[in-house]
Amino acid sequence: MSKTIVITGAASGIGAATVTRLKAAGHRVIGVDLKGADIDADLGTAQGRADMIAAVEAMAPDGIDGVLAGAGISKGDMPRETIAINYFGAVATLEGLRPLLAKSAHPRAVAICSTAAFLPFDADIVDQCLAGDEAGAVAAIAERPQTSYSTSKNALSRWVRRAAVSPDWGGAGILLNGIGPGVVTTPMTAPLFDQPEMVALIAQSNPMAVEGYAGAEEIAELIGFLLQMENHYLVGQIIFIDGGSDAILRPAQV
Amino acid sequence: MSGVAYDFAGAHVLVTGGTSGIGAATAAAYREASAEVTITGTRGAAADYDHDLSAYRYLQMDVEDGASIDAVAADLPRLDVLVNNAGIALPSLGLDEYEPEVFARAVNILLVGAFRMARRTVDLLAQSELAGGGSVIGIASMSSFFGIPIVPGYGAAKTGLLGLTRSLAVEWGPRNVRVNAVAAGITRSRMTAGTFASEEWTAPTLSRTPLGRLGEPDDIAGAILFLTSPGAKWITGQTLAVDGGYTVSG
Repeated sequence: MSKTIVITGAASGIGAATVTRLKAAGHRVIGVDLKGADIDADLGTAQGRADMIAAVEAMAPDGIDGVLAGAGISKGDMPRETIAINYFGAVATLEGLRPLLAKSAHPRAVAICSTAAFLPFDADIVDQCLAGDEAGAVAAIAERPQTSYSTSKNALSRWVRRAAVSPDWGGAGILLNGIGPGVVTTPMTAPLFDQPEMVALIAQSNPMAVEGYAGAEEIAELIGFLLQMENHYLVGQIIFIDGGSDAILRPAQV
Repeated sequence: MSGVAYDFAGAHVLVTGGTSGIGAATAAAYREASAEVTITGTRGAAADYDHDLSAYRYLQMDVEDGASIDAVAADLPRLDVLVNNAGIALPSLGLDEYEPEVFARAVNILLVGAFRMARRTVDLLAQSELAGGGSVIGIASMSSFFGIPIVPGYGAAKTGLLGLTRSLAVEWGPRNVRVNAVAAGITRSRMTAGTFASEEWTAPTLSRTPLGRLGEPDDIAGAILFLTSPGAKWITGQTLAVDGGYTVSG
């Protein structure tokens, strides 16, 4: 049966690969990105998030079956936007679209987290995020920007684990999970692999058991499963798809 | 390159592989210092590149082909500075340097090619009127000091460059040609600068980089300009690690 699925970050990378995959499976996809998507919105701002929710409601008033919160940036010189988009934008997407998901018979939601969860993060700013204090978190990360990406992804991972098992989500049959991609080759990361010194550096921070990094379409495969799965039981998981980095770096975390 | 101004007015500079990365930053720095800069690249013409290379004279060169190297050298009316930067890492083409033919190809690209260009241009460099003499600069690497398992050939070539630098310095010193190398630490490219991919993955490396950041191409270019300037007129045969302190940490 054809589902209606919202994908944020639809214009490139993992989001775009997921759009392709779901359309090929015959589903209706509503893509969201800064530009060039079905809905153009800046999820780093409250207005953009509200506009996006309203636009989805107009396009799918009878409800939606799935959401991928995939919009995110990775810019070391934009720490405020990193927190605003990667955490608050993702949470606003999922919470804002939850009522539409609740209208579905088999609602599913996925957040793109990251193996950056293994990296140093700012615990105080994660707490501010989880408390919903966007102004405070954004101001704080501007003063201590070094870990903005890993902080944003750690906070999002924590939010997924907490929300997924709450009455509004799991309790309502809306299965929410996260995925933790490791090194993924995209046009953005490809130039790094031209430098052996960089390849060696990446191998240190992301040790792997398998050969070769994944392309975006391999990550989309997992997302497709989580958005279309028929079981009612898989909830609150952060599934790492990383060539084995999680198992290598955190073997006792079972 | 803020803070330091060089004057290379009247100097003729060749930067091989000058269309991107360290080569591009170096070419730009020499241009800013008023030098006449020639760059080489693999594509047929300067117009084949996305960015504007009109500030330079462009010559196509295949660093694997001796005849191509010789042709570029023969096309230079004068030369004061040679920056041997051209080269690629063969694993980026999906090749395995543990195959002996691929290993040999890597050494040919990165060591033999650099030697050949220096050999073919030393007569011009010996006639340089640059204060402190003409210069050859090799681009060495962290792989000149540490084993990077994916690139036995690249690493061997980049290490061999250090020995080549010494030999040529001794041979050509009497001809007033200085030969040095910069061992570049991990530098970000313009395309990936500021992304998670270069920021977060570098945490283990940054933990042993005293200056706490990756290199920028400008960092390497600055060292190259210094080594070829009159300020370095008594420096030859040296390899200068430009790496934020990485090689001395630990």
